[in-house]
Amino acid sequence: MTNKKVHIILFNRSETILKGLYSIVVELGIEPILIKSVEDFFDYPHLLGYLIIVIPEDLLEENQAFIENHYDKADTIKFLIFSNNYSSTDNININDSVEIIHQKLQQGISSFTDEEIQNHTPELTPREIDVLKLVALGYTNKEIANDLFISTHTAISHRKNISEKLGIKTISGLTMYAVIKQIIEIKDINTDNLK
Amino acid sequence: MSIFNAQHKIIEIIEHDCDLLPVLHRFGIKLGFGDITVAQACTQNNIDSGFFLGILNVYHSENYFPEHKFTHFKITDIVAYLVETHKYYREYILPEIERLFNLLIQQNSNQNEILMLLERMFVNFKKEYYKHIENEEKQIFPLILELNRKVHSGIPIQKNLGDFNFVNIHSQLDDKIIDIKNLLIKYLPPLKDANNCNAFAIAIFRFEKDIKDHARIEERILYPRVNALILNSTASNDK
Repeated sequence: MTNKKVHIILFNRSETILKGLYSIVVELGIEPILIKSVEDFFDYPHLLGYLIIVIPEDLLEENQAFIENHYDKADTIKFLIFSNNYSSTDNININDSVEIIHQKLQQGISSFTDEEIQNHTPELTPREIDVLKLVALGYTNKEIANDLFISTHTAISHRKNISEKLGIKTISGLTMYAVIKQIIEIKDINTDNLK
Repeated sequence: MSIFNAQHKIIEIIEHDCDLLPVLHRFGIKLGFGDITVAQACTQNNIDSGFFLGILNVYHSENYFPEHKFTHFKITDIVAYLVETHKYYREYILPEIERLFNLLIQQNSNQNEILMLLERMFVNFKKEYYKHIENEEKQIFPLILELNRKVHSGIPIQKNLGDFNFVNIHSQLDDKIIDIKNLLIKYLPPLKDANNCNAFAIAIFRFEKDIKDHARIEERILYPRVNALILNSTASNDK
């Protein structure tokens, strides 16, 4: 499973189709966002993470540029074309069974996860553990860079990756993690820094 | 995802999402509401139903945030709501999290050292959060209300009041409590009494959801409204 949030947006002019698709998507444990007309996108600003948008072809053609601009902070937007007739191939079709639709959406979701796995290993690398240790000891980015003979930029980038992998952002949180995992000992930390 | 409207009964809304109970309380809607609708509850309690529904819906669905529909909210209503949420944090949820934390420490003397450190992190967070709340209630909100009063009575206001922008303070504070929760759920070796651990985690989840919502209301509704007020008023003074 990915650390980033996956949003599924259902865009259709037909309320019946929206409600049908809604009940299918909910079974995947994701609460989809329903869009009936393009104005509704303004009710859902600032979405982050990965977006899957299930949309008929004509609406996509009309609105793709707008949607991509509206969600410019999202990591990736994937459009799945929905169609009401038999002719389509790799899209979601109104005649598809619930299982098939689940499969197609799952494929969409795992494509995001694959992308993430290619970029990151889930465990901390030995270098990241070195950086974490120094963060926990209260070193600044500059001090870490000097100590490990890397640039400050690289030190910052390591810290960002550590936080993303662990889901822990603050220095005190990272220090506690290092103690729990016995990367450092309690006696080595300055407990006054745990704020 | 349902968006609630004025015809919904309060009980239907609560059956759908019981996390909204504290939100009702902040508007003065008490338990024992029977089968009244949102519209009736608002009339009875003298609440702007548009504002009430906006707050309810935004709290209920994390992604729903139609800023363009919120521009008519009264500044006095927004501030009153925010003060009520502060009260909830101070009088209920933070003391509750602390109580559950102390219980965990008592029950797990074998892991006391790490838990005590985690508790120190929480106590520091709490102190900082109270300070943040106090600053808003004693400095920022009174300033906003005064400004609002002046503009409405046509009294000129000074320029250069500065931008009301506190985005960073919120997100840094939020990160701390989220870290404590993640450490407990993901990384700490299992503690005794899973039920208490769960209660503790659930209390933090609720609090996290609430402060995120609170921050959005301040940053995306209140502060833009105040900035617009300053801008409009100084612009008309210039004429």
